Amino acid sequence: MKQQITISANGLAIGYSLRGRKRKVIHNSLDMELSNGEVTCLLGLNGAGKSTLIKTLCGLLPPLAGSVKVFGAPLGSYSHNRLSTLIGVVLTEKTYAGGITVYDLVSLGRYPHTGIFGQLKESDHEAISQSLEAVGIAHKASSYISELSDGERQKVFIAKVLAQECPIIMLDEPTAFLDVTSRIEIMVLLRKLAREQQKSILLSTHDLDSAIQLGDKLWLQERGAKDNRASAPMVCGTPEDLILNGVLESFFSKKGVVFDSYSGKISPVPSENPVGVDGEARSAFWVGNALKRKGFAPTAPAENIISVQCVSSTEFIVSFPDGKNIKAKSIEELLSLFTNSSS
Amino acid sequence: MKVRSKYITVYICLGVALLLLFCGGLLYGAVRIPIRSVLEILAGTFEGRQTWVQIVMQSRLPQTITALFAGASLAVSGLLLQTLFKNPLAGPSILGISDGAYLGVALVMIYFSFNTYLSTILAAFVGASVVLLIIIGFSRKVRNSVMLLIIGIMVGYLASSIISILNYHASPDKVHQFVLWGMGDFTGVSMEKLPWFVIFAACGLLGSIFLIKPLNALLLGESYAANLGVRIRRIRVAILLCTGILTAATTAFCGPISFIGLAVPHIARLLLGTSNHKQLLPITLLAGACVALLCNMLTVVPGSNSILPLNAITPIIGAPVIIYVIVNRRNIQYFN
Amino acid sequence: MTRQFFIGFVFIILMASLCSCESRSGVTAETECFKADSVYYAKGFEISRFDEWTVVNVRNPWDTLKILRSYVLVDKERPLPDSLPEGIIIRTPIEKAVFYTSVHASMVVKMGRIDAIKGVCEIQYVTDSLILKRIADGTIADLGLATAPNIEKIIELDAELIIASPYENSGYGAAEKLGIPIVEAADYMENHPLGRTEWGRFYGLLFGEGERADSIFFATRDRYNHLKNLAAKSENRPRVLLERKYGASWIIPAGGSYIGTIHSDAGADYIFSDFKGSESVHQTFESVLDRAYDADIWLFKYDTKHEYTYDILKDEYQPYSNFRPFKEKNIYICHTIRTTYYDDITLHPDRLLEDLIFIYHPELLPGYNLRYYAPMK
Repeated sequence: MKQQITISANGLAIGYSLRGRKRKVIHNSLDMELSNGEVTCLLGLNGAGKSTLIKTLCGLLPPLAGSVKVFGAPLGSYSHNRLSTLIGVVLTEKTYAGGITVYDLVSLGRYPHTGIFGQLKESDHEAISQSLEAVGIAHKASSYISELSDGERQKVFIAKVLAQECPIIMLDEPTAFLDVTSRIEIMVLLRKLAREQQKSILLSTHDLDSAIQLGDKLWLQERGAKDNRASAPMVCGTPEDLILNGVLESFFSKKGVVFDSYSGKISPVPSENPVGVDGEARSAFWVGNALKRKGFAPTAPAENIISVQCVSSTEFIVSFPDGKNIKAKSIEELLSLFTNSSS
Repeated sequence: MKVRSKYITVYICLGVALLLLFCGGLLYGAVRIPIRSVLEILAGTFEGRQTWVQIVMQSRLPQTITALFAGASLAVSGLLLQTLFKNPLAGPSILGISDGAYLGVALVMIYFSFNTYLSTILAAFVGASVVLLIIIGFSRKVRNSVMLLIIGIMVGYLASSIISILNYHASPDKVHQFVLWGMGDFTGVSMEKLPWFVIFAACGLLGSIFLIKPLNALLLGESYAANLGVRIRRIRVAILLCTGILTAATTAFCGPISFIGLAVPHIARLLLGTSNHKQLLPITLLAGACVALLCNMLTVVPGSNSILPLNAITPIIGAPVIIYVIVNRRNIQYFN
Repeated sequence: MTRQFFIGFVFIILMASLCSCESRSGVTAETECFKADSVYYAKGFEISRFDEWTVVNVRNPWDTLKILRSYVLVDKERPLPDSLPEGIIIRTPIEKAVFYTSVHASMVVKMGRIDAIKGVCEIQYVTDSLILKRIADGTIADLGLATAPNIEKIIELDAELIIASPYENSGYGAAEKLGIPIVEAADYMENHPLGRTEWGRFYGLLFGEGERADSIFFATRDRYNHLKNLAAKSENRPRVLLERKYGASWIIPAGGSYIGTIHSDAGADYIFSDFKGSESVHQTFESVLDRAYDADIWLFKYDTKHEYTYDILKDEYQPYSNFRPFKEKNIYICHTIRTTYYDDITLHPDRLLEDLIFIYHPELLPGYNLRYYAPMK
């Protein structure tokens, strides 16, 4: 299916209207596009206004300036009903649904598709069951929401939005409470939806790893405008492009923290203590990881620095500048050599 | 599904209870009428004391039907408010609607000294509607439901203070009359007037049934509900309107009745175990009718010459429920 | 010499002990020092006359074994004796008094002491034309609500006495701190119509018109009893239903209350006279219907702006039309504000009795025109 732009924003200013005519503008002028068949990850530090952006794009908050277009038509031109079949959201807000079952909550996702009394047809039940299966919470279908853990609850809301069957799905930190495996599961699920059903998926996340791995596009949202000065524009692109042209690095580089464009990780600023690392690729990588943690900077081996030769994952040879060579059988042993030598 | 059968059990039990209590209302009263005679009177084949026919057909029958609809109306309006304001302690009295009706009647009874039936009913309606319009007006401006609740409480206090002033300046006679009206009374609606009350109550109840779907969506909070297609402002007005009609009608015809609106939704939730309005609303309706019928029967103390005021009995049933819910709230799902 | 001295001494001791009259909490012993006035119908007060003072004990209407208040009336002309019994001391005759209830003021007018009335509460309930005239020209002050009278005005008027109606467990607020004696007139709690009127004799003592008040009372009493005896002669005793349903209850006056008494004295068979005591009973409509559906006559009072008619009554509560007096158009109604009903219960119970006798036995009072009740239209 041809790729098309499903949501586009032009000159969008987001924020809140306060009492009177005052407005708190968080961002002045943003331009971005969401395409179908893609997972777009919205990254930004806390307070950057990610939730506000999502709410504005899905129509829950009015834009303070600029426009949002959905499938080419302005957001405001859609009726409430129609819009609810186009965009589904998962938010971080508190709900009062403790007293209903998981199945009932997910079935609320069918709201735009059911009649006046919300009667569920066979097709509705199918959609609900499939959504429950997809997020992996079908075994808890008759439990009450109040009985679930935070992570399970999050899955239920994701299931609900799946049941809503919208071409555009926006999720605000959907993996925040999930454990490592569940996180990957959800991201994989979202990828699948994007690829197989050509949905447009936007999610905000703090999980940089998953975003880089599984996101087709990244949006980087800077902190909001202060004192009515113009805020930084939104940076959009594929993760790799953003890494390779250094944008991601400068985005995340703060005091004492740096984005490592090799590993794709954010880590503390590397120290000035070089240690040469060489040998079997996998072991070398993890030796480097351990050395960094200890305050060393792994680099290519050189004459006057300590070097580590990784023979295998259980055999390391440490060469000191004074010519001494010591063998280590594990990384722990290896590290103790370093602390010994430095003391 | 196992859950389904639980719902069906509750429906059946309440249905049976309703039937029994309805019959109880016809069979039991201050005057001892044998069961057989009551049945004959209902069938039209009774050949005895005319006063018994009058009592059953003109006093007990309308009284029981009134209690049924009043209980259902108050309970449903309490449920609507509790969902709208996401507050399990909301009720029709909280929003000041019954106070508005009270004030209307106070003005007419105490200040203007009209005491016809029609003037009382009209006054209660107008009073309740005025407060309702104020609340609806504010609901357009105030986004936050909690703020709206507080406005309602304040309006209620305002109405109460005006009533106090009226009472203070009134003669003991008038105050006494007004106090008696304030005790709540299912007996004031004769068979002639009954259709009016039933029509208003039925309108409100029917309207509330159409609100089941958005009410469920509101459980998720207003953002999610809006995303699902619920027009929040419109639904809010619709809910307030339904509540208003139900409360105004009941207060107009029966005086202010406490606790049923507050406690019965909790009774229904405890019976059903779910907050899903598809089951909760009809069960609340039935439970409200049952509680009102029970309270009506309890006003007549057996073997005594005297009767008890209705508003003295409703707290006896309502307050323990509320206390139970508050004390056990950790274990009750809809509170978490 | 010593024997006479001794006898004299004993005699003096004897006389002294006999003369030490006890007038403490309520127990009035019969000794030669004073005479107790006979109070015929009122149960709420007792008058005991002593040489130099008069004690009036007002009983607690809610606990009739206790005395609510004792008042010691001492003439202004006399010097204040050294030892007085316990109680509130009132120097009589009172020249300036304020009244919380207009009926008491009316009683004082009747005994010719309107000049002593300086202020009245709740002037909207005053029906006496003389008092109304004086209110209009300012000689009698408007003191506002009986529940919260204008204290400053009372002080300004330099009142010597306040006459108020007591309520259970309630004081008089700031008025108590004024130092002005408050007479707690519990006449409204009397069960016999003449009992209420008899309180006028107490007020008469306060205003120095004891004899006149007595004679007014006796005249009323005689007239009342004359009418009562007249009614007793009639063999017919119509069955009578009273009042209406308010809310869920029909408040039925008890047989021993003043209403029950006055209707029985008028020669009626009050249907609920078997409810003993004086407290009204709340009955359900169906109980009243079952018992009184075939009453002969129905009387009730009302105070609305509009006049009651059969249509209005039926509209108010349709099952009222099942009662025989409704069907046969035998209902009499009394507007309590347009007539002087409430005042006259206390001042002229005989007039009320007369009205009732005419309703129940019209043949006994030919040519009489009803004052309070009228047939409902």
